[in-house]
Amino acid sequence: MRATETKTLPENRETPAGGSLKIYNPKDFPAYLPKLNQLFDDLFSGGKGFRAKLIQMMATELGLEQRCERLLAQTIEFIHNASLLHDDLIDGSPLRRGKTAAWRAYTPEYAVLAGDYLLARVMVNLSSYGNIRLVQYTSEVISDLLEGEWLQDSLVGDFDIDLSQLDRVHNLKTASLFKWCLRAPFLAISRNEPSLHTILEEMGTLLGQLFQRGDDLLDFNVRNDEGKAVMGDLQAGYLNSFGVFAAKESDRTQLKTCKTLTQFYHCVGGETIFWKKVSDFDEQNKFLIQLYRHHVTNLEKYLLPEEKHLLKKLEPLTDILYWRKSERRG
Amino acid sequence: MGELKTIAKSDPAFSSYLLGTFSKDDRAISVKSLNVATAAETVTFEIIPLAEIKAPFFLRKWALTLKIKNYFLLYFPMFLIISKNLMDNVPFDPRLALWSLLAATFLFAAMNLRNDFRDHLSGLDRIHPDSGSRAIQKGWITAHQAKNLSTAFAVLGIACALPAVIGLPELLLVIGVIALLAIFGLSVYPHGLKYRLWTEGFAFLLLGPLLTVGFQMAIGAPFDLESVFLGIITGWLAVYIVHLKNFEAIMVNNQAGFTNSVGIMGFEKGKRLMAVWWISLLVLIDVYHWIYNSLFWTVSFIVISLALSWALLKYLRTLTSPVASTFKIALDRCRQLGIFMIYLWILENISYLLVIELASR
Repeated sequence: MRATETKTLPENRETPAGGSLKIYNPKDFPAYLPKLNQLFDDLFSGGKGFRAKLIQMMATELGLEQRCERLLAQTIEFIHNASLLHDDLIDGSPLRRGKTAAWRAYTPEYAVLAGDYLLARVMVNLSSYGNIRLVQYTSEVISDLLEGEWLQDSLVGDFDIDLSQLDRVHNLKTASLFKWCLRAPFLAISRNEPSLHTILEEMGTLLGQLFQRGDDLLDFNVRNDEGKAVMGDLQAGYLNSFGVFAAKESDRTQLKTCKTLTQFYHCVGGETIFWKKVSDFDEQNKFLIQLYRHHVTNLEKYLLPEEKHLLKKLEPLTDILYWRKSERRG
Repeated sequence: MGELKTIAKSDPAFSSYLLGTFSKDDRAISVKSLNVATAAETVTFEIIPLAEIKAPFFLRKWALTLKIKNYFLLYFPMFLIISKNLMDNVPFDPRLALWSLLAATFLFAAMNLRNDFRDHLSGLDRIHPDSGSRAIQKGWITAHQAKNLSTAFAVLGIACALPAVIGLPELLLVIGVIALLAIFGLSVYPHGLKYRLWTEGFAFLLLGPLLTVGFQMAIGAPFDLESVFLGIITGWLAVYIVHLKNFEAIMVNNQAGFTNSVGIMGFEKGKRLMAVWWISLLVLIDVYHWIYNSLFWTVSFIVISLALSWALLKYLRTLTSPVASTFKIALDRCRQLGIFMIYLWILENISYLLVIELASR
């Protein structure tokens, strides 16, 4: 029976499509619910699995046992994918990872239930590990994520929003998962010092903010090597962080009719000004990168000698998340 | 970008950075954090040369640092007391009135600066987006300077209050009540009273009955019920402003675990609380006018109250999310309605005083 199967950690395997620790084992889901399994098969194929890789990196350097590493990687992927299921439905996004989004391929009801199911699995699997602090923290992160989702929905059609308000939403919605990736491996080995977690929390916040801002730039076709759809946010009525920054001195009412990049250039005063704004935005974010690196340096005193290699792995993350340099190049 | 430095609270150098006494040429600006619920065992500072600190011109800088825009909460009740006495021909000592006004001004400035200092020490100004004047956060002054200035203003305030206290020792009772409230409040909330339930009661008494009755006595006028009534109105108005401030920060306060009426009631019920608070404020003003003032102004206030209440309810209806752009705008408008009522009342009293002056000629 399903319930007894999950008392121990599932035997996860690496997904060939992801080529990473983005773990999904069909046995982890009830065999008598074929549609749910089919939905998860679709959902878990593709994607970069960045968060799971981050867990893998942390786990390796902290010497976590493989069972724990898999549990954490699975947890973050389940939470992330649950949020995507809900997110696509809320945003009305027709595509996810180049395929029809779950709510359209199945039904909105199935998408909601599948997302809820993943979050429930997270709690079942994590609680079987027996670290109550980790379970509590994970629950907090899930509630932060949902709060962020809730708040972000209230911003659709709001073109007068300011960056500090958006940062608060992104801290809940995006950064919470990065914070979890950094803090959970330490909690899993009962390294609970408040000072250590303050630093990790700040680092996660900065990574989340930088990732979100980098992602928002892709929407305006800046450093968009991954070929993300352009102007999707504005077309959906959502002014993202770069949009807010670039349109700071512009007539915001014009943004409502902005559907193409050319129209956006016009809104902010021309293409030259647009690129100047990109440069200013980068300059502002360089402070966040500097702050992140400063925290990485400070992390050193909390690490054991054999863990210090972690610092070299953590430092270049901003290159990947904000500057969108490929991991190989990075 | 300045150099970054993270210092643990246990570090002996910590307080010198927090107070800003570590250097004469640099400012240590504590970096803001979005993580309100994290125990801040360490603080990260950006070290910026003093020459690079951007501050507005002198007068604006000090107006913002001392939060001059909030002084109406102090001067308005005092104006009502003075004008009431003039209209009713109640004798009072103008010199004592001036000393008391100065004393209250200095003590209010001392309190504001002390608040900023405490916010900085407790870390509240690193997590709260709009807490205090932010003069320390922006590097205009150091926390140490804020504390010293606060002490200097407090001493000046006490010195200015002396003539009134010597003339009327009963005033010590009012001062004692205020001191007791502050001591008790700070013993319950050692990191400060801001955004707490306690502040609402404290603001009501301090900017309400204690201020009006205390001022009435300090200027040598006899105690009367009208001063108490005026105090209830101005205290109610002060709490209305506090509710608006708490509503504006509902998200951060909630995440940080600060308890106040708006936070306890939640977003939708909090809106209702503000509507009820505003309407009861207007009822109090209208009843006061009906008892003490002319029919013309009573009717005028009732008509204007109805119009302003309609406007307030309209603004409150637009509040749907704590992060929406309309949120701050709507709350600012609710605040402006309160200020409009004050202007109207000032206009009324000035018109009375002009009529009395003209009649006496």
